[in-house]
Amino acid sequence: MIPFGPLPGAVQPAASDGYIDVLALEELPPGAQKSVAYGFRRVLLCHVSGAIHAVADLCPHALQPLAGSEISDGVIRCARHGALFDLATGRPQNGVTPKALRVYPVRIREGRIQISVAEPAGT
Amino acid sequence: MSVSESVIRGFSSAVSPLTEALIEADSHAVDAALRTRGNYLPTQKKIPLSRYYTPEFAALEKERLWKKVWQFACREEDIPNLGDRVPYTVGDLSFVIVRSGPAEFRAFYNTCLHRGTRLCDGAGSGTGLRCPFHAWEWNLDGSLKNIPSRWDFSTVKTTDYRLPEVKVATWGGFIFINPDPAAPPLEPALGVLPEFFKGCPPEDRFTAFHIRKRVRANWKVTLEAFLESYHVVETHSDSLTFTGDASTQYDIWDDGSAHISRLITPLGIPSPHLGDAASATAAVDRAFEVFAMAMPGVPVPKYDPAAGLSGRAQVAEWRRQMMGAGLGRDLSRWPDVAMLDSIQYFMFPNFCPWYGEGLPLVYQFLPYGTDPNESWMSIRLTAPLPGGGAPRPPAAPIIELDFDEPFSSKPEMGLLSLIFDQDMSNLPRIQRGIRGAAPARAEATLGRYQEQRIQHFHEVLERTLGA
Repeated sequence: MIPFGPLPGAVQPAASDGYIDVLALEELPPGAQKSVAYGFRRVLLCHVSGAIHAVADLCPHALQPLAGSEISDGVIRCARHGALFDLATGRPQNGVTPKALRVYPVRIREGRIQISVAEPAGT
Repeated sequence: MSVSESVIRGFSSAVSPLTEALIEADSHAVDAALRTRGNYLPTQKKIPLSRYYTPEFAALEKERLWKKVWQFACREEDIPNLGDRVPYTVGDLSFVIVRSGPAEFRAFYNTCLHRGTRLCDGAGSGTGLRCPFHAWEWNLDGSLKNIPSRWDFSTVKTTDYRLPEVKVATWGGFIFINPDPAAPPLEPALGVLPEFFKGCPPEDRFTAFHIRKRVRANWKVTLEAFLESYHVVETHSDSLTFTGDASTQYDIWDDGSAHISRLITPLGIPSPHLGDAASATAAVDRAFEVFAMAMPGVPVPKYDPAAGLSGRAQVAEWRRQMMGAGLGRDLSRWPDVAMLDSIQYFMFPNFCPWYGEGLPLVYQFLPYGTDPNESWMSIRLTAPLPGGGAPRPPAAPIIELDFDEPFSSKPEMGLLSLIFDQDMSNLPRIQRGIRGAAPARAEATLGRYQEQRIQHFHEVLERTLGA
């Protein structure tokens, strides 16, 4: 009876190792970013300097989407209140919030981007 | 001041009309209540920030507000059987609400007359109210039942040791109390609510989900964050594609006895902030998606330009059919506005019953403990009773969330958890900011239209407190 549940059409876990298939690599050219849904969460995929990063599309400061935010030297700057996060580690790079941005492990399989949605150890 | 003052009543765009126009365009007949506009506009005035944190103001509220006004305590279904009881705790005041007869409710000060122990800390049941310290016990009607070692209390007259009782009244399955022995009846304080809820009787609904969160903010800060849709543009920016925030309609009814207000925030249209070129179709598609979240596995429709119905009417019709089938209820006469939109009423001082099926919630805001910087927010999601003579489902148990526990720790709340977490992320920040304000500017400036319900709340609060 809860009015809002998982996002419809969202990608569901496909592999027993916790990785889900989210996007074709060719749909994320260098410099691009794209927000994809799984469950009721959104994940922001970024193609930066030859690496694919996957982070929560939700800034931990005010819980707003990060998609469309500027990326420079591997650091994303939330367009709303200026929180900075290292895309590879999720660590905050300034004092807007002490909270880290969730980072999802990424692998490429047969031209597809897959991310691990297994809960991080210790949570 | 009259409502004829020239106030700009909301902001629209080419693709996002004002709520009043959407109600006019509804595909179904809309109840008079939803078409009726308010009769009151509060005087514009700044709000001193000190009232959100000083112990002196909190003490005044305790004496002149919480001990004096009708206030929503719980629902009848929370105590379904004879002898069931729940505590209702307001700061350091506490009452125990008891089902003392098949359809009779009583409320008592939640304190043992022996040495002051709190009698009821959580939902419970029994034939009497028994103190855990020495087993002094009272009957459900408040009369003294038993004192162990009665011989040692020769001065205690049984008739003098009834539990002190406070007034109780009900409307629509909601139980209200008023600790003031001289209080007038509840009914005048309800104002337009009984009439306006005839189309969606609260007594025909039950609590399907119930969560209570401790918040590091004054109870009024928490309450006021939920009385306007002005904050959507920044706090819920991811909802702008399908939410009529700036086109929200606000109304107030005040006759001196009842202090009621309402907002109607339409869904399935883009925010007017997104401009005239925003996609109305995308807003409808997103509304389909959002409402489909309650029904995993159900195919999600899209806007059909050939359907001969507005996008909102299409979403509403789909919801009528899906929900009607799921609930065994006939929703065919419900207007679009009641199937889609967020229609939230507020009754002074702390009660928000929502109307319709768009977002059927009930909010309650309370001071928490003795620290004016902390509060409690209770959120219920209600559902219509099942049709076809099915028995009344039990009320959902309360889920407690501590200060630092996010709503997202309860995945069953789905997208709602994100929306509440967005609101909650602001509240401690507001409380801290308020306390650190520049002395010469330690006051809140309210929007004339979009924040009028907050203005009204403070006007009534000041009157109530004599402050």
